[in-house]
Amino acid sequence: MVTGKKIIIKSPKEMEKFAAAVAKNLRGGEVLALTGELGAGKTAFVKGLAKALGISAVVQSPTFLLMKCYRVNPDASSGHAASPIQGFVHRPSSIVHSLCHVDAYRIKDERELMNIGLQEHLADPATVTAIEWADRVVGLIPDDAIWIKFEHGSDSMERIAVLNI
Amino acid sequence: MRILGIETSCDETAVALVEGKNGRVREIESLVASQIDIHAAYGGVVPEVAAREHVHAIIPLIETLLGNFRTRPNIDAIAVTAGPGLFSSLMVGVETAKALAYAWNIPLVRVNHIEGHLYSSVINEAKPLKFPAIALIVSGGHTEIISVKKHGQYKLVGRTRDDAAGEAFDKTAQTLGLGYPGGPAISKAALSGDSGAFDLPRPMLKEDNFDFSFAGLKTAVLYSWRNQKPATKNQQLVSDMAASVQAAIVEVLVQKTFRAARELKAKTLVVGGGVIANDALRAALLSRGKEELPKLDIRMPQKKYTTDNAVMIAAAGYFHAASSSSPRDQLRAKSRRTRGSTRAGFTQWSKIKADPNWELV
Repeated sequence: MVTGKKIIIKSPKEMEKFAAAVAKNLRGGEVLALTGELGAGKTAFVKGLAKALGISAVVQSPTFLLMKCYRVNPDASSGHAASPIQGFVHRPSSIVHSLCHVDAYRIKDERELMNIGLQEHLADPATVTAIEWADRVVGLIPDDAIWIKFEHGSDSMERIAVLNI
Repeated sequence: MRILGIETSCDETAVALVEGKNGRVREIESLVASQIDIHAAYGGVVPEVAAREHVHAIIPLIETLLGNFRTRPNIDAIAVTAGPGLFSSLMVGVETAKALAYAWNIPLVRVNHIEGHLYSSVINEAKPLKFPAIALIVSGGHTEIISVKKHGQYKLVGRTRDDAAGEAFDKTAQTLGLGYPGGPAISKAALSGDSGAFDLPRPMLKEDNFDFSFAGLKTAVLYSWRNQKPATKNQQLVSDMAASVQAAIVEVLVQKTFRAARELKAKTLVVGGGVIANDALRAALLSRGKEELPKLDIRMPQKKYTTDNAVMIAAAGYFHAASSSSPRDQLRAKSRRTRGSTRAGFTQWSKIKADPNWELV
């Protein structure tokens, strides 16, 4: 268990590196609960995650569509943990098949996300689900979710990620 | 040719009837779920707990549109949005269309949602489209430039790499405390603002491609707004920022679109999507078009067709059906229909599937 570990991210490039480090610790079935205000880096993080998982599609913000899912190209993915992040509980499933990118920004009622089939993805051991604005749908987030809070840093490029695993 | 259109790709459940003839499409009737009392149509009880809104709305809506469900209606094809969108939402429209196509023995056309927006400017217009055309589709979820060689032949020229233009409007409106939906709020506030008051970036304007990026603009607005002294953040400053944001978004959209139109020697520019309801964007497209490319025929949809609707889906469906079939072909298709038509414009009912990631090009 890791609570409140802060990671300073100084540039978009470093955001990509941080996302890749997280991706290396994913085995499928994980839920990444992302929080932080507008422009704090949530979507940029998921773009980095997708890249590290070998997804070649352009990851656009899912705010309007609520959810976008991507197939992982297993050959291109970064494979097993080279530098485990402390606190990650590694699951038995060994391959991530898909990444579901969810956005609760427009959600007024948690049931809206249930209605579009979110639970099927949450329950899939080969899917990684990243939920932006997760603090707006706390009731849907599993207990073992990985919470990452993004904050604006001291200059316009800098962001801070706060990990709670 | 009479076409029934069905659209359930995102929030709206919509159905429509159109008449298509000689490259022109006319709306006969159009319904969206919020317009009729679904609860009444259902006998008063809707189990909200299991509510998948489209499921409740779709059948009463089609019944209202056609008047009578029991006999085969006088329509020549059913056009349905098969993607992109939310899988569970798309599925409702697609499965309904399949069932009706089978039961009524009517051919089915699968339509891409973006293609629907692309044809929204053709509805109720007397002039047929001239090709090659360039299309700008801008909404809450999409920002794309597409080249159209002829009906049904598309090529993606550029798109947003992060946020859609509509999302940029919504999220900057949030920063300014203007509420949701942000597009109309920004555009209203901008009326009394100075668009030169804030120096905001014009993302990717100088880059040698037709892609967009609006996430950086959203963040630039946030930082710039934060740096203002709280005491100065009055109504006028909000209006100034709204006008500045709108000018930045409009300038990038308009410049890239005209650059694409010029490079691809387009005869026509078609635009569509929710953001096309923005008056500043409409005015800029028309005035800049007149200056820069006076020969370019700019086709703008009526505002009611800029948001998601089924008329545009039926319109796109008409062009699929019409471009692939002479009257004799249509007769032949009718005789073959029990086995399902597999010709270009139509999709066999048993083969059509909802595809949430369907890329038009």
